[in-house]
Amino acid sequence: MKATTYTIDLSRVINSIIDPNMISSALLKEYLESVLEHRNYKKGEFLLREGQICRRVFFIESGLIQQYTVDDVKEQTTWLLQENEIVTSVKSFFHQIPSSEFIVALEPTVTIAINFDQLQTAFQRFPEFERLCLNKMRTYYERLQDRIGALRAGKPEVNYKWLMATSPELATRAPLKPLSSYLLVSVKKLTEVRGRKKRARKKKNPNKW
Amino acid sequence: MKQKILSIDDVLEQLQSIHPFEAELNDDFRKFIESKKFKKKDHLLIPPAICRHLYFIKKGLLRTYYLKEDGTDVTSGLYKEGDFVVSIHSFYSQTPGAEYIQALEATEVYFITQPQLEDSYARYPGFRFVRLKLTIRYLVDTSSQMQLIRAMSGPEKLKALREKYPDLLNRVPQKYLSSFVDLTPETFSDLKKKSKS
Repeated sequence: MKATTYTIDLSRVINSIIDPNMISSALLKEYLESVLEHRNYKKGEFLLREGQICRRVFFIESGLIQQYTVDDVKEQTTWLLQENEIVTSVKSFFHQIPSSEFIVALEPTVTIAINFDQLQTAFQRFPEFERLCLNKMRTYYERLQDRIGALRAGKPEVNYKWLMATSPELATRAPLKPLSSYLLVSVKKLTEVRGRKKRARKKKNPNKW
Repeated sequence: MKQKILSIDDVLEQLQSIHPFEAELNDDFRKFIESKKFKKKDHLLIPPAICRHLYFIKKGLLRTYYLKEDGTDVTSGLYKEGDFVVSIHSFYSQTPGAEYIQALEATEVYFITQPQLEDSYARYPGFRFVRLKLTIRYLVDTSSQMQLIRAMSGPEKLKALREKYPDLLNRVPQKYLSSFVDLTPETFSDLKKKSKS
């Protein structure tokens, strides 16, 4: 993959990552403009492989990303992420240690990335940026807690309900295999459910599992 | 084994090691950090009460948990001496959350109130990095916990517990440990027996 630095649609990034009302500093904008880079990935291309250190946080401008671990041979999807969401291998990134997970593009994907040192510098230099990232982290933390709660319930229907409450588009957008491992159901069962949901939607009873 | 009781200096040292901040704040902390004792099974937080304190464990053991719809209790976190503890959602939003905080042993804590912390962030910019790094620590731990629940087999879960909480394995009642790693108490107990032999 070739990293290209060109004029970035900063207003879009700022609107999505950052609350524009809180950007008090023109210097912060200038700094972000100088460090953020576009990184584009083809379908099937990896943003990170197991054993590599995750150097960046990616903001997904367009596309679909799968984050997963491999247990023996099977892929275990931990996250499916799309436009306007942020992806990184949390432990690997914040500790700068090798990751135990893979991050791969499931569709052609455009990201805007910042690396570890640049992020540290932004935290040090711009208190408002630190504050904004803190809020992002808290939101992400709550998502994690919700997902853990759904996983602990140990029932595919709870995972499905969680998906419909958080990113319902994924139910039809994501490929079957990653989605089935995301929701902890077999591909066969998921195919059945998808078919039934489609018919139920026509009958206006889409929430029946 | 006799546990060392941690002092206010230990709290300050811990905080300073997370990220160095202004020395004047040390003096403030000495003034407003308070301490409190809890008996085994006492609660530090019961919803819908709002979590208004950041706790630091001097001595003892705490767990956070929540109740599932069917009433079963799920241990979501385990904390020992030297750990900072809040119910993060309730603490940051200052609204009621679903989490309880409970003492698993006779426990002594230091605590700082949420307004005191906010005031410290406002007056001492260096201290904001402590907040940021503590939040990152929570994020990393929770993300590891998700991986553990999502992707690990029973034996791997036990191994991860041993690595992360070597001293807690014999200290925390098995029913809480098993629920923390999302295994049934029976499976957990079998695994423990097997791994010994």
